[in-house]
Amino acid sequence: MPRVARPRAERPAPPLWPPWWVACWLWGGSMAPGGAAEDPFWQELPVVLSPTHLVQPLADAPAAVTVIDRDLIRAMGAREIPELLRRVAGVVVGWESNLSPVVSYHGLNGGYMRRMQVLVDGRSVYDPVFGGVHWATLPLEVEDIERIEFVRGPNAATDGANAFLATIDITTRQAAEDRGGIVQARIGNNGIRDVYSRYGQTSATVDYRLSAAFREDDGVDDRFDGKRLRYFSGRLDARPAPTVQLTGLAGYKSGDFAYGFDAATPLGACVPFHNRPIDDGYVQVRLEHNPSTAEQTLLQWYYTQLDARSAYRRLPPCGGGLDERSYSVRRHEVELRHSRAPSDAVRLVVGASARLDRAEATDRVSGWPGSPWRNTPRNQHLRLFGNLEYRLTPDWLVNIGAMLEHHSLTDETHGSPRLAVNYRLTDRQTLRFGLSRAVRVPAFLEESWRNDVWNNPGGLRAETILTREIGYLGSFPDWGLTLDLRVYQDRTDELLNVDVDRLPLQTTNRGWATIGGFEAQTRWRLTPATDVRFAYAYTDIDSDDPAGARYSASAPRHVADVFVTHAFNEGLSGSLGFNYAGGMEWLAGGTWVPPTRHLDLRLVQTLRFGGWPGRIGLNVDNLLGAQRTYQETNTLGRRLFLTLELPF
Amino acid sequence: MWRRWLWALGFAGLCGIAAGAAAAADPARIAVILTQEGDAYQAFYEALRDRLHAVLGDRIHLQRRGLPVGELSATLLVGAGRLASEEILQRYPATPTVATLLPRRAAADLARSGERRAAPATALYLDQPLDRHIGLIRALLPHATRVGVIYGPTSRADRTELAAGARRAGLELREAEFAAGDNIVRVLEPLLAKSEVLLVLPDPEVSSPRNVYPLLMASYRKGIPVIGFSAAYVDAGALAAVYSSPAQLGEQAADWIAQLLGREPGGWPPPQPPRDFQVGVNRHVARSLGLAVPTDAELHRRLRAREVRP
Repeated sequence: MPRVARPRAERPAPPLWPPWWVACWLWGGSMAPGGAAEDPFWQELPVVLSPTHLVQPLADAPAAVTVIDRDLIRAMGAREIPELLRRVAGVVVGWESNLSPVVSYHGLNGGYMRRMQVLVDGRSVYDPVFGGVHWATLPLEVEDIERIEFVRGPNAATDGANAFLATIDITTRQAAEDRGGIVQARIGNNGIRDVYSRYGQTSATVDYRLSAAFREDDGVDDRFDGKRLRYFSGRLDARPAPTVQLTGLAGYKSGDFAYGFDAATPLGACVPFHNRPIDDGYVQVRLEHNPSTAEQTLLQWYYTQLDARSAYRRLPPCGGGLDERSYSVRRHEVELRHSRAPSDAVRLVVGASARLDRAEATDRVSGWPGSPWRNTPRNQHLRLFGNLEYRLTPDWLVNIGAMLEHHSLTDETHGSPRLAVNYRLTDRQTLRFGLSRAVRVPAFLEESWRNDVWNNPGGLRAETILTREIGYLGSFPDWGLTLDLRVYQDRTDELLNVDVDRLPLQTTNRGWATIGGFEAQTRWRLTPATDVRFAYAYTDIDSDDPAGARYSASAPRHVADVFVTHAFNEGLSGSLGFNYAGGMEWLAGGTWVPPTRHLDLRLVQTLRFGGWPGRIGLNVDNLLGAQRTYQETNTLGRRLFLTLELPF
Repeated sequence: MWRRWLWALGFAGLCGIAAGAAAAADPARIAVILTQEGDAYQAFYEALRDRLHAVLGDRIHLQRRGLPVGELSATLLVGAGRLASEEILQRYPATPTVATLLPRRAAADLARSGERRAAPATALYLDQPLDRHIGLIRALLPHATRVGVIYGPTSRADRTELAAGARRAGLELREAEFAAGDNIVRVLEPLLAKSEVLLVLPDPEVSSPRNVYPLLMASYRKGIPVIGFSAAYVDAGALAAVYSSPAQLGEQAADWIAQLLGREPGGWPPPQPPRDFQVGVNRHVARSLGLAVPTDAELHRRLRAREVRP
């Protein structure tokens, strides 16, 4: 074949049209030429660890924080996010149904934990309609989580309303952390069938990740409680310049939940077996300007949407009509935040946000006067916040923060300040004195809902809490021991309460509760291969116990949790978790539940398939047998499942 | 400041005697060829120029060129960067040449190929002595013993030397291999699990723009501090790095040139590592990792002390 020298065309370079340029930039990162060999030395690098990632050391934090990191999450091998939270001192997890797991901390709650804020990548997933979080349909899978920070105590100065008794801050993995693919399959008793898959790719300037999952199980024992979930999420991290990061996130989870009761029972006649579909999704865009690891300006917008429906025909003893209930929630939020460290002694975060929550609900109950009911509440939520960390001397550190916010729903303006003083006893021991105030605003249901059951006229006020605490943090590397101790008192007032014996139901501000207690969260690295985590909480609630709310019994006196991980050899590792929760009463629909003892065991063996490392894991949950949960009639039996994980 | 100038003058005087009357009569023509225009090359050139003028005064005539080199007539050539150095070594085999701002491997290759040249050649390379990185780890993390390191196609050659240095310092290396096309995330995971600190060596594959982000992120997530090799690494989120600034390298090159000008062709030394260096620490990363780190000056002093020790 004749070789023809290609003539060198002396043409001017084509103009760089933006779309073409953008496409090349997106594509080109992965195939950028190596350049000069000395490049690594002068190479310009992006600011990788921005204030988004750099965690405040616990010793400098203004609150008690329990961290559940990736290693711990992997060691547990749990299927559900609420189960991960059992490792936090004082947390009790209840299963009202497969549809409604509840994470409770310091009690005061029933099926909706309304006094806890939950954030995923800075996005509030708190449901404004009922209050609380829909853990079952949260568009997030355990595998995509990098870290969970559980702030024990009010955190309204940072996170605003409803960061009342606690805040859960979940961070998902950066796309760059998951290069390559993984497939995970799980099978077990109680109808457990899960598949999860993820694929990610990275280049110099663009990373992305896609995850998908399908999960099903039969839920709570002896109950029509199966669920089937479909999940998809994607993430794109782009770095158009070394100091700029643009992140796009989107996720969607759709679930079918079996619900209802045996037709032979009175409850079953009114709520017979039926399917409850729920769709939960979000889109989020975040733009960060990170001039350095200590300075950041962040602008983010997100949109979340949840649609839930149920329709069933009541049986003759209960009227025999058709019930149709549906509701949907939409949330938009825009936030602007700036953080910087003007000196080694000072760190500052200021920001503002505007949030709009809208709900649309229709209740159609055939045969009832007034049906159908439509509720279309909205809440405009404006916030202004600032937090200052100031190191007075090497030993004294002060955190001052405040949140100022307005809610159009109640037309109230709230200020939530916090003051924490950390004193360093030694290089590795710190004392913390904290004073923190927070509010919990009424959920739409509580403020203005009207249907066959509810008649809420509005005019409610926010609940208030004032928490005083003394914390101690100690780290003893020679023994591999870390200690986190806390004594506190939460004084809550204006509690929103429903007298369930009077129909239609109405919410009023009445009742108070004072919660006092002690918490210990420790980790002991016994040997390089053995890690022991221990959490304990003593909780004592004093309350006027208004009708329908026995607050004083709503948290167990003692909750203890032990989690041991051990690596037997390079390939085989195991974990053992034991959780004890004393007797407690789940309010508003739940019942008194006697003490529970959950013993979970897990063994993991790494495998090699032609050089590709895989893992196979065996979980046995509730080894001690069935445990009651949420109400007398709900039990969680022994669960046994096998998980196979293969990278590709 | 004045003292520095006095020293420089004294040094210049000595050099003047050494170089002899010929040099004084006929200024040495030194041409500096830069691989590219850029902050680093510019800073290098300016430091070299200022130092040379300070040391040799008007007994030199300095010119600056970019690539391609074109026709040149010089007593001594200075290549800044690998491309410039390669080109002049090839094109001007009869002119004494000092190659600078290039990686150690490239310097060694050039020095080998230069052995057949008519005129002498040597190099001042960019890589810090491996022992300096080890010294930094020791000074920063006195309790850490397990040092993770990823060898790529280039840094693989450092293995023996690094292992010996680590042994002397009482450190154990945890090693991983990385080939072009490997997945850095999968290479890192097992390595981070058994390391207390991660040392990143200047290897274009390991440290490619595509890998730096996951490398720093994954290490931080595991609470493992990273020791990099450039200021950019520290700014990006490495705990610390020891590196030489272009200006420091420029000054070193100038001092060296002043010595070499009067030497016999046979007396040229082999390629040299950077003499002066700085230590950069990312205080925010250190704080977040819960590490108490000495001041930059103190770290610098400890590293210096370590090197002058017999």
